[in-house]
Amino acid sequence: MSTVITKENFIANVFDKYHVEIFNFILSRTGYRKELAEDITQEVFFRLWKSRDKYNPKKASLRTWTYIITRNYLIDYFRGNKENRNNINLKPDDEFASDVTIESAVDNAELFRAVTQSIGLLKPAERELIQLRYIQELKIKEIAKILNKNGDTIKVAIHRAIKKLRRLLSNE
Amino acid sequence: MNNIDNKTRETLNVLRTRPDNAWVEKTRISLGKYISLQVQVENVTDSNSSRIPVRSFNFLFNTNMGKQAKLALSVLASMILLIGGSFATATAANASVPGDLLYGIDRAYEDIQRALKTSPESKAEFEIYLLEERAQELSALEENDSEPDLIEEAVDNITEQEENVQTRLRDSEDNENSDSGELERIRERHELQQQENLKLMEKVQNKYQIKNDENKQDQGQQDNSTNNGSGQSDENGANGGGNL
Repeated sequence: MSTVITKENFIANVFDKYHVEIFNFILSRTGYRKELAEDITQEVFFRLWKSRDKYNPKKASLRTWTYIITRNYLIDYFRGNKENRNNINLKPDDEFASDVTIESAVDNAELFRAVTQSIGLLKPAERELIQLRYIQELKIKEIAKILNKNGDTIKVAIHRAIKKLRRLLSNE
Repeated sequence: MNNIDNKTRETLNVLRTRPDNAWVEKTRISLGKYISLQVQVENVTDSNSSRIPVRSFNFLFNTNMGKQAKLALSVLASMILLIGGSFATATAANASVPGDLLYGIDRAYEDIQRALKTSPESKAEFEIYLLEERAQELSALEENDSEPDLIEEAVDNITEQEENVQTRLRDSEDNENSDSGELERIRERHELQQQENLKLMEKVQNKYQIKNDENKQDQGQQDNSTNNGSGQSDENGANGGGNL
């Protein structure tokens, strides 16, 4: 395999690096509907390809840029699908993890339900912060760039969101 | 991550999921095909390149595909090579209509996109989008007073696409995991498009019926003038030469 980045393998490289976390991010924003998340993930990578000339490595890392494109796509998607905006309701028959073993499926299903229910009670902005920070494991600086906000504002907002989530989880 | 306790962090870990390996592989292959096709089209319009390197096509053939798929792609690749540098861009391909050189490429892109759709709703909605595309093509041909055989091809394409939409909508309705709200929205979009298509078909039918009638009328007048000429001589002849 060539190590030189060409037009052809640029998106293949980006896809290989980030498809899992982008898929996760989209999954959380689409009510954990796996097939819908798969479709949107594909569309995001097509859009990344189309926007490749706009990428400026001096302004953001490739990872940050990928998240920005993803987030913008989701905003456009929800704009066109108003009923589905911020819909985090888990559908009972949806698959959620292809590598969950049968033995742990029952426990995980219950925990998954509890977590998604609690997260569903957060405001959309709080939910997004928790997703980016603790599921996607992005740095504060990266989150600030993606959300176009000040780093200190993000830190405070995350702290408040996690406090609220902890309270909700303990009530479950 | 200092302000999160271990228990909360472990709990949140439940939300980490991975897509299926089959989906990952399918997406990687389709992305590759799509990008390779676009790069070849871009290369043709690059005035600095005198030829397209043959090795650039290798990616199209290094995937696990059947003989027919390879043949289809090699035909497509040849079409790209044959196209001059004047208008072969992906954007131009998308705006093409039946009869255009790039129309085949446009339809190839659509097939790639179609193969990537996973959920029943997105498959149905994509077919509706293609129905809108087919209608736009017919509309463009009608506005340009195109030849009847191209109009006929465009009308056949709409009919075929309407069948695709119906199939996908039925599949969505039969699928117990489908989102009924989403399905309802998609059905409404389809109904609106069907109404537009009906008006378009009537317009096209009227226009080309009128053209057909005009052509017949012109043909009839030509036939009449030919018949009148020969009839006069005959009369003269029958009358024994007349004024000769």
